[in-house]
Amino acid sequence: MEKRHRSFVYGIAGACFGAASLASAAGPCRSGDCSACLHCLGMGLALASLALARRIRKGPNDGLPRSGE
Amino acid sequence: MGTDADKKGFPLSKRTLIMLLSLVLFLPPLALVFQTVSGDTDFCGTWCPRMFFAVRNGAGLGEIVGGIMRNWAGVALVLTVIGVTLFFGRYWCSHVCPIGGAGELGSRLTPNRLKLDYSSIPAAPVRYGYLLVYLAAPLLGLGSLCCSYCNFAAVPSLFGAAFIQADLAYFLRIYGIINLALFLLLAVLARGGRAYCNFLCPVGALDALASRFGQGFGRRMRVTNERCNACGDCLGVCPTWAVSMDEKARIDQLSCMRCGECEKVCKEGAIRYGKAA
Repeated sequence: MEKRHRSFVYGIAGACFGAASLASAAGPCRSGDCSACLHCLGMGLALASLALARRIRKGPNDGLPRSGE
Repeated sequence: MGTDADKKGFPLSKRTLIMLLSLVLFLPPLALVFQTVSGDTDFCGTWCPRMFFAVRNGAGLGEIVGGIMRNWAGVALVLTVIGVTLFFGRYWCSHVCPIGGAGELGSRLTPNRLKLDYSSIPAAPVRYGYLLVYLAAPLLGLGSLCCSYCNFAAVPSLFGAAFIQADLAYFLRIYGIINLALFLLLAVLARGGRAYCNFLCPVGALDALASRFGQGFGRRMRVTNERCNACGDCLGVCPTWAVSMDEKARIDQLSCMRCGECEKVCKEGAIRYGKAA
């Protein structure tokens, strides 16, 4: 289940980057209307998703010795 | 099983030579393919392998057909790439693509201590999340063309910057700086040099789907379970982290690029290129 959650969040990160890579019809940062451009929002959400996915991967006990180690 | 370089005493493998030849054929200052066939100077034109299927702000069928007509060479290129992949594996990505090749060659020149390892990140979800939005968002009227973070624009500009003023100017804009950072972080500084290909290349994503679809009848890198002793040598050399290890090595055809690096390091000869048994 955790692996599926992590894959989903990485998928969201990829999707956000895809949104960020689309060029705005109005031109970047020129329209004054952020809804016409997904660069900053997309990149921001992509980075946040990556950070969240890494947090899921690490889990609460990361760094502690596992049983038998 | 030795490399081509080992067998012939030549310092470069066949794949490396093809990648170097590809740089000469496709990238400035020579870009011989473009100059001799279409009069373009780089991928941003008739040859763009990404733009023909991208629609602009929810445009209709006519616009899509127009895009295909404008980028006829890119259409032919992508169809050829997918056709070859179905039967022979991802030769374009592993051998011919000058953009991926430039990153991998750059990575080979980077000291190991500086390299970043992305293998803990599952590539397929990122890749297909990216591709889904890349294809679907313009249909919904969100954004338009997909040139903002395109390595098919950034890498030729990088090679041309010393000769062409427009290419130099590209890196003085925010897009150019971000593209350069992505190329450095996901290619030149990445272990194996193929993280960009694995995460953010739409052509590579389509090619990977073709690789998976044709795995039943086409030639692919395959593991012979009886020979595999699960030593794990193949894990560390795969540039797209397509090899995993359970009791035996397993190759994910959705990520395998058919570079053959795993075959070269396998002392047992358990990995071979061929059809399914």
